[in-house]
Amino acid sequence: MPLKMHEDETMTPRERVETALAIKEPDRVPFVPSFHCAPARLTGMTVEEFFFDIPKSFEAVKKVWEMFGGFDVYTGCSPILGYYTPFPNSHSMFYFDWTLPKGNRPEQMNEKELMKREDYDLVIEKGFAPFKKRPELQKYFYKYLGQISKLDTNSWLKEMDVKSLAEAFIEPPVDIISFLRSFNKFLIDIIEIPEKIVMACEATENELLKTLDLQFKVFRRKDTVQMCLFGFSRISTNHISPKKFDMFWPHIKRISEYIIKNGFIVQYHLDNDYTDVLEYFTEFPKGKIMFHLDTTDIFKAKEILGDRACLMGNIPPQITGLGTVKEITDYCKKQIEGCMEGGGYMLGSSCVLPDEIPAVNLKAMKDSVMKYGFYRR
Amino acid sequence: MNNELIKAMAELNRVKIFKIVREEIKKDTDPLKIIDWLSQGLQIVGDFFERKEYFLAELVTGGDIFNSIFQEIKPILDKKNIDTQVKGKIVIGTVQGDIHDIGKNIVITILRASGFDVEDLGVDVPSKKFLEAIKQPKVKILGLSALLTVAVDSVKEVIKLLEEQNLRSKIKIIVGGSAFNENVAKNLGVDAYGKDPMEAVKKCEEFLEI
Repeated sequence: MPLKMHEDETMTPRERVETALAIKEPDRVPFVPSFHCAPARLTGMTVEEFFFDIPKSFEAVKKVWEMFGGFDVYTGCSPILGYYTPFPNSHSMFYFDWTLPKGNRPEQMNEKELMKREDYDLVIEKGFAPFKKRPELQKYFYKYLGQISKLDTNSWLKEMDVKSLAEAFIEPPVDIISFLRSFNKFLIDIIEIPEKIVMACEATENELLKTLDLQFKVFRRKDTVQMCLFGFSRISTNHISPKKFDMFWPHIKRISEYIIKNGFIVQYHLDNDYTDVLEYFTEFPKGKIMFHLDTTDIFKAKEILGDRACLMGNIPPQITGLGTVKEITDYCKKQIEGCMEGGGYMLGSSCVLPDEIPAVNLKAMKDSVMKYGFYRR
Repeated sequence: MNNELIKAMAELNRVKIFKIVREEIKKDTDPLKIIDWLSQGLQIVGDFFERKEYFLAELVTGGDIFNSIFQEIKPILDKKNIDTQVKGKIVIGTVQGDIHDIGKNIVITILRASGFDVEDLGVDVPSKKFLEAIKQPKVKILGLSALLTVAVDSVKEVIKLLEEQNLRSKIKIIVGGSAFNENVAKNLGVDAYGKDPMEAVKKCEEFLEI
């Protein structure tokens, strides 16, 4: 049975989201709760259990859906596979030192200088391969991949006509370089040897695109539009000037075009603030890109990109995790009223919802959509 | 006044700065004068940052250059028994449950470059460790950092401990990191929230009426 959350609805969640992605008005604003490990706390499990027990994590997600009467997008269960993925990305333990969850303490990266300044030439010559360690993790990748494959998520989603938030993942080369160098060293390199960073980005771009080829092959579906998450953490205009951002635009553009060429929508997952460089993204055609914003001003994004890109996010954890029901409702109402016109908008948190989000706060977000988010009744 | 050094610092020209400083050391210039010129240059970097002409990358580079030069001058200062950390002492750390330290380390760099004596307690710091640290003489400010909103409970615990020991009124507390905003800080009952490193420095200076 397709999921129905309100009697006035005329679309299924999939239709609603696909309409928003195409920059048209659906029956109402879609609600996208980006869960990380929040279903654990909401169902009385520890974050550790949720993380390491994939079948149990999927049951917890389904239970949360029942508790709240469903949502418009499925954002996944245990994120463990990402940490055992043997591709260069900031979450992979093949490349980076992560402490995985213990009890309710979440996973956290122990960021350190894994790549020295003199190693730029090594990256330019050999890519990220010299920084890949811990081959013993490979067996866990297959173990967790096997467990996730057995979940039969697709049947559950098909029955309710709900789609996934993203089915492929990539980061710009500059982000991976930043994590390898460690943030402060990277910021100093940006000022003192920017040309070396750009050369390293150019040298590693194809290596990253190859990781996409494999993901597209495995996860491609014909029955719905799909999104590829393109995650940025380190080149926001909190950190570097728009002029410096410009140096990395050619790589971002080429990777984006590659995703679009392969039939996926680019989902820019932008941590921190990119308000001052939003104009760059106007180069892409309507409906081929969407934005999950963190502290980027979503109202400004609506002005600049509202005619071509679906927008969501920009509801910070200080509101979703620590706010009162009234504060959350006011915040969501203001955003819905400012962004819903013309479609191309979904309500969702900045980055992911805090793992400790109280149930009443999540309910307040959904209630706001039901109260203020209908285009027609 | 060495305007060339101030300008080089403002322009973050590391090579030129080292060259000029080494020349000044050779000339036996008062090391406090050299530090003062560098501080003036760093102040310009801070002004550019506030005007959004410089960004975090420039601020971090400025702090790093300053600290590198300071290490070069330190043996001379030690030999002459000169104390440069004159503005006051700050104890700082990432609260229990959180191991993120990037923001904290940037703030420490800028605070030290601005003349504060900073004791860094590291990450995942138990509340009792903060309590012990602020009992040291001359400590006037406690800086608490957190990225995870779940770690806000640890901040509450530190404040509760300080209140129980009747120490809350003797210390100013400033918080920083992605877990906070002005409103969260206000609800916690801390004395200030630093949204970026320069604001943290400014608020710490206000605490000490500098």
